[in-house]
Amino acid sequence: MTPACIFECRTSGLALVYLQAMVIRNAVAQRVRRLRQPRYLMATLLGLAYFYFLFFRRSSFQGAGPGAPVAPVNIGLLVGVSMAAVIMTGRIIYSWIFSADRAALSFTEAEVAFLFQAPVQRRVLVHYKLLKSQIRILFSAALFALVSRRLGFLGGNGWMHAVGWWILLSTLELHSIAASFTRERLLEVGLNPARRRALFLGGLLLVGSALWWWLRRTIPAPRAADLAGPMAMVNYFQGVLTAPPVSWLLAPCIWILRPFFAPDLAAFIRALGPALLILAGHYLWVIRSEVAFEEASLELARRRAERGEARQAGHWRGRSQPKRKRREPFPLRPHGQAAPAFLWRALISAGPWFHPRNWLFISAGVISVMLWLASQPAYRTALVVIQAVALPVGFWVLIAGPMLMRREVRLMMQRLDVVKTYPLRGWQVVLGEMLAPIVLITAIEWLLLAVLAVAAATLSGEVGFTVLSSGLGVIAVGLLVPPVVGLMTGISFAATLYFPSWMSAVGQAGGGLDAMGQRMIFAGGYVVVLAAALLPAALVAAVPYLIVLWMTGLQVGALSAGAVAVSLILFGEFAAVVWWLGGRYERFDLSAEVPPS
Amino acid sequence: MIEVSGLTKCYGSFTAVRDLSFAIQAGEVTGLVGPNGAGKTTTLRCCTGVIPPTRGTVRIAGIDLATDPVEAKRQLAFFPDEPRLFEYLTVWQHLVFVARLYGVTNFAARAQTLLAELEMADKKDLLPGELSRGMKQKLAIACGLLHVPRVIFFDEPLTGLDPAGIRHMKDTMRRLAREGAAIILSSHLLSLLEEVCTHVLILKQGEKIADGSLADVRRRFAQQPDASLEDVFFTATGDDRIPPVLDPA
Repeated sequence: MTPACIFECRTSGLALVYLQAMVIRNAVAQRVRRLRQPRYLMATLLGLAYFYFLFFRRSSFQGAGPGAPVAPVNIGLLVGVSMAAVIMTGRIIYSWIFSADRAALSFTEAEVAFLFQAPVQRRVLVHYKLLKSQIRILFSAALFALVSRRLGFLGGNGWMHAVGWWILLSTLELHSIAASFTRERLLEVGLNPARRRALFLGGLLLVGSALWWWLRRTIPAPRAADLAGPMAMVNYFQGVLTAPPVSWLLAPCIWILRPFFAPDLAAFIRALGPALLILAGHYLWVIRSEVAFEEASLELARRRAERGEARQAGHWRGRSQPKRKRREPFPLRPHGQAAPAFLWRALISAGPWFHPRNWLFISAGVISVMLWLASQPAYRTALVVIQAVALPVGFWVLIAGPMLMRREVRLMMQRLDVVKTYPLRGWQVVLGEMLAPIVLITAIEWLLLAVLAVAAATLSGEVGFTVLSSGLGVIAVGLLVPPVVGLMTGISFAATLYFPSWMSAVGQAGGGLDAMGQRMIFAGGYVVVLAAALLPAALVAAVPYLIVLWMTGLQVGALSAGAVAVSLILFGEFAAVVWWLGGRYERFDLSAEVPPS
Repeated sequence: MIEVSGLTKCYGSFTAVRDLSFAIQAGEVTGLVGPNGAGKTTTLRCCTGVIPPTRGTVRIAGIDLATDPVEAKRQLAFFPDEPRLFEYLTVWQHLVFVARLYGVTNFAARAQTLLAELEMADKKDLLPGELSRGMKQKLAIACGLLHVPRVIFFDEPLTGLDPAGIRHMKDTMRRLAREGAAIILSSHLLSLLEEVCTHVLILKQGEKIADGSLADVRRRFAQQPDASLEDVFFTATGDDRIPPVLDPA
C-alpha cells in the first residue's frame, strides 16, 4: 500500500467509524428519551428486574464466589470440548459443501446507497462490516457468558467465558465471510457450485475412508465393557476422538474452543495463544481475499429490507414464498351478514390445511388411527404417551392460539383507512375479524379432545374413568372451548384497541428491554383479565352443579350441567365483549396514537 | 353531496384542522391542496369516517356521518395512495368480498362491466402479487366503484403509476364526475389538479385559505388572468421560499 492509499483508508475509515458511533449513540439516546414516557420507563424497569433476577441475583460475573469449590477437570469437560469440536467441524464442512451463497457482506440498504458509490476502498468496507459485526458479537458474548456461567461444571469464570465466546463467535463469523469469498473466487475461475460440491464430497469421502481405515488399525472395536454404561461409553469415544488422526482433524476447532472450556486461569492463558493465532489467520484470509462482493451484497441488502417489511406487515416468513391461488373454504354469496365474509377471507389466507374438506380428512385420519390403536392391546403404551402429549398441547394451543389475533389486528390496523370506510357497525367488524381465530383454534381443540376421548375411553379401566364419564367430560369441555377462545381473542383485540403503541412492540421481535418488559406486562394482564372473565361463570355454574348433584347424586350429570351453564354464561360474556369492542372500534382514533402525516 | 361544517380536529393541544367548512356538489371535482402539514390527510380521514372529528359535522349525500355512519359510508368510496389489497384473494374474490360488505345488488353484471371497463376481464383469477402497480390500482378502483358511490375521495391517486396508468386514472375521474359523483382529490401535483379539477380548496396550517371554482380562485389570488395554479398556490399560501422563474432574456 502506498502512503497516499493508507491516508485515504484512514480518512474514509474514520468516516465509517464516525457513522457507526453516531448510529449507536443516536439509537441509545432515542431509547433513553423514550423513558420519559411512563409506559416505557415501567417496562424498562420490569425488563431490568427480569435480567437481574435471571442472571445476577444468585451468581456474580466473577464466578461462584470465593468460597465455592473450583470445578475439577473432569472427563465430561474433555468430552464436551471434543463433542463441540465435532459439531463445529461438521458444520464447517457442511457449509463448504452445501452453501450456495455468494460473497455477500451484510449491509443495510442505506449503507449500500451511501457507501458503495462513495470513493471508499473495498478493504475499508470489509473492515467496516467487521467492526459492525464485532458490536453484535461482543453483546452476544457477554449475554452467552451470563448464561454459561450458571453451568457450574464448566469451571472458569464469567470473564474467561466471555472471552471464550468472543473468540468462538468472531472466528466463526470470519470463517463464514472467508469461505463465501473463497466460493466466489472458485466461481470466478470456473468451478460452479455443482462441481464444487462433487469435488468437496469426493475429498470428504476420501478423508473419511482413510480415517476409517486408520481407526480400524489403531483403535479396537468397542467391547461389551465399553458399552456397559454412560461413563464407559464416554471413555471409549473420548479415546477415539483424541487419537490421531481424528485429533489432527479436530485440532483447529479444539484450539478455538479451549479458552471457553478452560477450567482455570493458567489453562485459559495457555489456550489463548493458539486460539488467537487461528483468529488472526482468519482475519488475514478475509482481508487478503480480492473478490467482488458488491453485487451479491446489494442483493442481500434488498432481500433483508424486503424481509423486514414483510415482518412489519406480520408475514414472518418474508416475501420469498411465491403466492398461489387458494381454494375458497366455502362459496361466498354477495348478499348476507358481513361476519362470514371476514371468515371466508381469513380462511383463504390461512392456507390449504384449514380448508374445511382437508381438515375433515385430517380429523378422520387421526381419529381412525386412534381407534385402530385403541383396538390393539399391544399399543396401550402408545395411547398413554399420546394422551400425555395431547393434554399439554391442547393447553398450549388454547393459550398461544389467541395470540394469533395480534397479527390479524395489526394487519387490520394497516388497512384501517379502508376498513373504516366499510358501511358496517363496529361490532360487525370486530366479530368478523375475531371469527377466524375462534374457528381455527376450536377446530384444533375439538380434534385434540376427540383424541383424548378415544385414549381416555380405552384406558378407562387403567386410569379410573368410565367410558361414559370420559365421553361426557370431553363433550362438556368441547362446549366450553368456543366461548373461552372467543374471550381470549377478545382480550388480544381489546389490548390492541386500547394500547395500540404497546401492542406494536409486543407483536414484533426484538426491541430491547422496554419491549421485553411490555411483553411481560401484557402477559400478566392477559392472565388477570382471563381470570376475571372465568371466575363469575364458574361461581354461577356452581348452582346448577350443586342442584343436579343434590337431586341425582351423579357426579357426571352434575359436571355436565355445570359445564353447560358455564358455557352459556361465557357465550353471554363473549357477546358483551364484542359489543363493547365494537363501540371502542367506532370511536378508535389511530391518528391520536400515531401523529398525522 | 358533501357538506362540511365547522370541522375541527385536535391532537392534544395541537389543532390539525380548524373550523373548516365547505360544500361540493354532484359532478364537481375539487382539488384539496396545501403545503405539508396543512391538514389535507386529516380532513380526508374525517370526511370518510376513518377518524372522528373533534367538532363539526360532515354530511355525505345528505346523511350525517356521525349519526348514521353506516348509511353515509354506503354512499362514499375512498382510495388511499397505496392500494390496500388482500394478498391471497384473487381479483374476482376481492369483488365478491366487497359486494358482501356493501350488499351490492346485481353484483355479477356490475363486476363484469367494471372489469371490462378497466381492461381487467382476463385477470379475474390473478392474485395481487401477480399484478402490476397500475393493475393493483385498477383493482382498488373496481372495488371502490362496485357499490356505485356518490361521493369519492382520492388521496394522491397517481403515486407509482406509469404514463398509461396516469392517463387512465385521469379519464376515470372525469368520467365519474360526468356521471354525477362528487369528487375530492388530494394531491401535491398541481398540474394534475389543473387538468382534472373544476374547483379547488386550499388549506394552510389547518385553515381554509381559498375555496371555489378554479376561475374564482385564480381571479382572487393571481395577478395575471392566465396564471397557473402553481402561481395561485404560492400566492395564496404566502410561501415565498420558492424564487420566481426568471426570464433568461
